[in-house]
Parts: sequence; C-alpha cells; structure tokens
Amino acid sequence: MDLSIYLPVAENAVSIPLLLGLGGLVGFLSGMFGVGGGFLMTPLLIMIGIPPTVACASDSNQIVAASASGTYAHAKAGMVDFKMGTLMLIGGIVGGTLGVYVIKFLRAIGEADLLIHATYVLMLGGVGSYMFFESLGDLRGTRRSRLNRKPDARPSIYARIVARLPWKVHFSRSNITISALMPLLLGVLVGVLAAIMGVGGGFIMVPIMVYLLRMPMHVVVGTSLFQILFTCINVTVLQATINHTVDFVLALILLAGSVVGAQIGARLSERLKGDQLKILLAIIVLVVCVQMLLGFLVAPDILVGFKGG
Amino acid sequence: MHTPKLIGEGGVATLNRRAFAIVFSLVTATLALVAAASVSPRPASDEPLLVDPPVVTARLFYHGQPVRVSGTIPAGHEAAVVISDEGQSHVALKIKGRIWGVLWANVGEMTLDSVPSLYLAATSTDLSNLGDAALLEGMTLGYDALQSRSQISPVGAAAEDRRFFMEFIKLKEREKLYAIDEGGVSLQPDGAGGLRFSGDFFFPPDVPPDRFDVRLLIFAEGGGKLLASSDLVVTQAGLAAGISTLARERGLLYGLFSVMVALAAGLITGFVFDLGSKGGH
Repeated sequence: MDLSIYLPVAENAVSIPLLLGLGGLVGFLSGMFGVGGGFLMTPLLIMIGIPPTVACASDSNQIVAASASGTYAHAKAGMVDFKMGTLMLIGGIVGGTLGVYVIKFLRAIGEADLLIHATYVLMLGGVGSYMFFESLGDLRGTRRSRLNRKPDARPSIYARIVARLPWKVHFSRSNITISALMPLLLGVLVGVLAAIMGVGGGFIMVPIMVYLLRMPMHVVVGTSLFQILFTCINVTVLQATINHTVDFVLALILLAGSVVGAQIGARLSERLKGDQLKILLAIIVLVVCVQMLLGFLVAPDILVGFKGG
Repeated sequence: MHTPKLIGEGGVATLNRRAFAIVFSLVTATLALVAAASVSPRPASDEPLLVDPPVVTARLFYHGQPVRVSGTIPAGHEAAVVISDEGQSHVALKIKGRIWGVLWANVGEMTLDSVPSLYLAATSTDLSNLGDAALLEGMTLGYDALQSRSQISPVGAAAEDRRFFMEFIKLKEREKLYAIDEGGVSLQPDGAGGLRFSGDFFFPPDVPPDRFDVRLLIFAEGGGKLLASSDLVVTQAGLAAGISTLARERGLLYGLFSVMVALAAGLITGFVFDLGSKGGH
C-alpha cells in the first residue's frame, strides 16, 4: 500500500511516514534544545523533492506548531523569560530587515553565495566547538566555574562594557540584571545573521543567550522557542501572502510529528543537566557544520542547479 | 414588378436540370464517399492516437500515473512517441565550479529558454536508426534536438554550452521529468497490413498541472513525419485543487488559516501532554 500524499502547492507526492518521522525528529530537537530546526529540516525536505521555496515556507509553518507546543511545555514549567524574549524578538525583527539589505549588498558585490556559506560554516564551527569543549570541561569538572572565580579577579572587557550600559533591567526568570540594550542589540545581531544565512536563528540565539547574556540553559530553551514562535508566524503569513509557497498539507503532516516530538524533547530536556543539553546541541551543530564543509570540498555529481535551490 | 428575362423559358428549364444534376451528383458522391469510408477498412495511418488516460487527475492521494500511448502505424515504419510541452519554460540555473582550486561553490548563472518542463520520449528502435541528426532535430526528437531549439544565455563557447546543457538534462532526468526510452515502443502486426504500437510512460507526481502534446512520429527509409498528435492534460482536483487555489488566490487568508491551525495543534498537544503527565503522577 502506497502511503504517500500529494502536496498541492509543492506539486509532488511524498511518503506520509517519512514526513511524520522528519517532523518528529526535528520537533524533538526543537523541544529539547530550543532551536527551530530549520537548518536541519529545510535541506532534508529539498532532498526528498520539495521545491526549496516551498520547503522554507512550509517549514516555517510547521515550526509555529512545534514552537507553540514547546513554549507551552516550557512555560508550564516556568522556564520562559517573556520579558527577555520580547526584547530579543524586537531586535531580531530589526536585524532581519537589516540582514535583507546586507544580503542585497553582498549579491551586488559578487561571490555572495560563497561568503554566505563560509559565514555559515564558521559560525557553526565556532559556536559548536566552543559549546562542545566548554560543556565537556564542565561535565568532567576540569573547567573552572565562573562562580568559583576569585572575587578579586579582574572582570573581562566584555563584562566591563556590559556593566557600563544604561537602562538596567532585572529579568526575574533568568535571575539576571543587565541593560535592556543587550538583548535588543544581540537580537539585532541574530536577526542579521539569520537573514544572511536564511535560517530561523535558533542555533545562534541559544549560544548567545547562554554565553553573552549568561541566562540559565533551561530558561534559554523556552525563551528561544517563544521568539521562534513569533518569528515563524510572521514568516508564514508573509510567505503565504507574497510568494504563495506555504504547502498546508506538507506543514500539517510535519507538524503532526513535530508537536509530539517537541513535547517529548521538552520533557527530556527537563531531566538533563544544562551541560548535557549544551554538549548534545554542540554535537548536532558540529555535524551540520561538517556536512556543509563536505559540500564545499566534494565535487557535485551535477554541475548546475536550479536557481533558488 | 417586371423581371427582365435574361434567357429564354427553355433555357431556364435547361439550367434548372443542369443545376439539379450537379447538386445530385455532388450529394451522391458525398454519400458514396461517406458510405465507402464507413464500410471499408480504414487505412492504418488514419487510426486515432490513443492516450490512456487522456486526463491525469492529481487528487490528495495521487502519487503519479502510468500512461499508455497506443495506435496503429503503416507497415515498414518505426515509431516514436513524444510527450512534452515544447519550448515554453524559462529556466534559471546556478553553475557550480571550483574556487581557489579547492572549494566547490556557485560560480555563475545561466538561463535556458524554450526548453520543455516535461520531455518523455520512447522509440521503437535506437534514435540513430530512425534518421540523421537533421531529421531528428526537425522533429524535436532527442536531447540534441532540444538543445538546438533552446537559447542559452549568456552564450559561451559551444563546448561549454553543450556541457552545461547536458548537466541540465541530468538534473531533469534525476527529477524524472526528462527521459528517452530507446526501444520503449513495441511494434506488432495488427493483422490488417499495419503495425500496432504501444508505449508505456510514467507521469511522476511532480509533473506540473498543464496541457501536454502527445506526438506520434513515424520513420522509414531515412525520412519521417508526424502521423498524429493528441493532448494529455494534467490537472488537480478535489481537496488538492481547493488548497492550491486558496493558496494562489487568497494568500493572506490561507496564511492566517495555516498559522491558526499550527498554533492550535501545538497548544492542544501541549495541553494533552500536560494532562497526560499529570494523570501519570
């Protein structure tokens, strides 16, 4: 019995169990680590024959469901910093708009694709490696904890700059007091990078919250999902209105898998230590990085590709 | 009112008889031809080209459709069947190449015009046995013929253009939207002096809804001609058509609906899992 379904906007037929499995896997990662999973799902959808524009738009639609499911689970556990998330979201929207112009400039000067992919590999490699070794050190107990630092130790340049910024606000869920400019500016940075790389930005956002905002890992996951939810609502409506590329049938099957995966991921996330979560996310980020790097080094079997693909 | 006589009464009678005779002869001849056509066996070449099914309908559980093309051709001929939408598509392609001798990346762009979105061909023998390159090109049969009809931009050296065109063919073949099956048309005597042919094609699910030409070409002694042609329509129907139309024509409404369903699914699942976990404790 053929368990495939015809996708009316993608104009192709795809196996239902395969889509449910992909949705479940990416939803699980989303609920567990607070990433949207677009960096994983979109290439997988393209690989199974979905046109790239439809893959991106429909993935955004399914991320709405997975992130809503994950945000709900994390919010029930008190692990969403809505104040921090809202500020970063505002920054992200500004950054995303700026990023669109940056990409236009990059295309105008040529070799934009190489620059974009190189940025991607460097970001993934840098963030993944740092998270991996830092978490590994913590898990082994070999790394000196920030809390165990000598009280007279001179704070880093970054810490001194952050301390001098105005408009200090206390974020009770994260239990930190920092300038409101920090989440806004970091949100802009993530928005710019996400627009350049064409991804949701969750896997950049999570390390930034952990290492630059010093938020607890469990609150980071829920807060990241909260932002991703709104970003993807915006993207879905815009894609449906302007490009007509949202395939509802595709999104519906993916989300049927992802909402369940997100719940399982969120529950498992609560049972793991922050460092365990970080090292697992680091491994996934590094695997994607290596896969992208291989794409640069291994000769493609066909020397042309459809534009937009 | 006076009507001027142009000819005599006898002349009128003669004219009427002649006119009657001419009309009678024409009617009789027509009836005889129609009768002859209906009772005598039709020449093999006049058999209609049969496309089964003539309409491919994509519904929600559509996953491609086998299509059989059959009919009769005169004895002593080879046959080729081509299904395509000739020369309509404009395709933008990225060219991949090496940068700094190490990295593979997109190094340029090209466009192809007048190339079909679908090109499925099957022949009763090898293409080279059907006729020379000029004949095949004139009948748009084979990838060389497709290239000669296409326009590549920017125009490069002939060898480079050829290389990238063949890479484009590989891309389309991987999508199963281009295929040439040499020997895929079977020929058998029809018992009436002609040959019965049939060719089986598979329409993959990613063939876009459109009207396609089905052409039956016949070849003998280095020459060839188009014997018959027909239409094959791919269309969406039912819920698939409804969703596609809504996505195209009511984008904002469709987008909002998609978001609402996703939000509801996410929140309801969260709520159900929450209840489940509470029940479990």
